[in-house]
Amino acid sequence: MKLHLRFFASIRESLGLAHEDIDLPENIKTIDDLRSHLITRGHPWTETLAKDKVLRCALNQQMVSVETALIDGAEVAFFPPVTGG
Amino acid sequence: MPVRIQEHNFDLTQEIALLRKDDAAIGAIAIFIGTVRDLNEGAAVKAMTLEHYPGMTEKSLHDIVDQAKDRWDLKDALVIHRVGPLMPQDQIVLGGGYERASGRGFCGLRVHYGLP
Repeated sequence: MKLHLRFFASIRESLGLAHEDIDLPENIKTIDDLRSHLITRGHPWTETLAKDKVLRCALNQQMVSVETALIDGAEVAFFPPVTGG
Repeated sequence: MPVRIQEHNFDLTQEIALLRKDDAAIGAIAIFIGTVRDLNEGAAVKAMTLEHYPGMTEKSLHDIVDQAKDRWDLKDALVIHRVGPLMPQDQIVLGGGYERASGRGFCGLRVHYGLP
């Protein structure tokens, strides 16, 4: 499965990366699977995307939960929670 | 129902004129202006930089306008959200609208800060 990944705000700064195209193994089915897969890359991915950190995710520019199934060719975005207002 | 994302400030008089479109039948327009506070969750704020997700931000704001349209009989509405570097007291968001039938200008555009 091919995806376009986008990273925003502190996640982008921590990774030193704003976006990338990725080709995933077949066993990666959900956003949570994707996150786990990225964590295996090691530093800085491991600490930036650690499961004890609250992150928000979007699939094709729609906010979704981590259980959401991935779609081939989709754009997946990760960003930190935002407060204010 | 225009939605704009922009870095530069907005002028309230100009935006009301844009929303009114020279329609003399409009009797009132409701406007909400959000401004940057100098405090966030107990921490002092001297400046902030607001970034956004192009495409998703506009879609989210359109969704909010659509929700307001379902709830009130809006004839038209305008939402402007600024991004980029901002200082306390700066205008950050404008939500405005007026009703279709009565022109009383009652609307309730809720605008969520940041992403989406």
